[in-house]
Amino acid sequence: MSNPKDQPLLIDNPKLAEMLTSGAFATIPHAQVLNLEYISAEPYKAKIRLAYREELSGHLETGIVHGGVLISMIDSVCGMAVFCSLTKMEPIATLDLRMDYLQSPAPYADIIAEAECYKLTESIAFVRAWAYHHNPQDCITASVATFMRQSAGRALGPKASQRS
Amino acid sequence: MRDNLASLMEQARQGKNFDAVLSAVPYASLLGVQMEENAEGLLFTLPFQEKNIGNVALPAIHGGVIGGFMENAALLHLIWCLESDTLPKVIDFSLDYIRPGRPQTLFAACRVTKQGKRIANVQIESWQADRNKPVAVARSHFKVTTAQ
Repeated sequence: MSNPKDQPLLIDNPKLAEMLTSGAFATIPHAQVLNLEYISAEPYKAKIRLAYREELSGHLETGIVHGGVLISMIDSVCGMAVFCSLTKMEPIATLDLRMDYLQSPAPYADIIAEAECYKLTESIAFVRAWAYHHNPQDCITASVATFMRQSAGRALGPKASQRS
Repeated sequence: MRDNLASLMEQARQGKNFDAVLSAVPYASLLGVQMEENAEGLLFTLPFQEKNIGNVALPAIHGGVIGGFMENAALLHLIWCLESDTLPKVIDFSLDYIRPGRPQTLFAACRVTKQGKRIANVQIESWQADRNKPVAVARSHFKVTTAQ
């Protein structure tokens, strides 16, 4: 996706880039619980890692990561890809998220997730994402998500909560 | 071979105590999921905890926690309904976020829309103080093996 107005992206500013990528999970309690790690970001794209821990598994006997953990991971990496596509700071909110579970994760293994924001309109960001162990061609999950932009005055945010 | 989780659910169904089922799902324990059987079926409960926050400014429960709680509810609900020896396997999960999850208890209930020989379709709804104001709705397909 190209930047239609050719304005600098937020992540072109090193300080903002750090806040939105490597520092992104530091202030999010549940990202800390999952121990999500930032790997890399570039315009419109982000990549993160989940280090395997037994308490993240869905089944004590198999040791396979719970699908719900993957939902958190994909939601997080998609949000990061949206921030990598914006030219100014604005609140965003997930509208919907679709997970296709292509194959079971291997037990006791780390997982990498990548996302790409492939279309940005004035109000909506469209994102696709995938998760894998080593080979991005051999996916565990494939996902699409949409995010609402400038969500503070609309569905999510202090203004909305004050009204209700 | 009978799956352990299916066996635990069978015992839970008789004793109406789901603690052993939940402790066999480490991620459900990590989130703090509770479940009970009532007149309408199964009710899943997620008491609010700081560690489940995804947005400190609002504050709001992490969208992934809401999704994970709902997907877990769908799977356990299906095991409870199916009386199958093997575990259903999630194929896909489609989640619509309706309103932010406030720092309050989150509930979820499921309905098996269609139970075929190979595939089950499950609808999941989650809400907080008001049952008529859903926080999120989802639907999911599972691969199932029905009892012979």
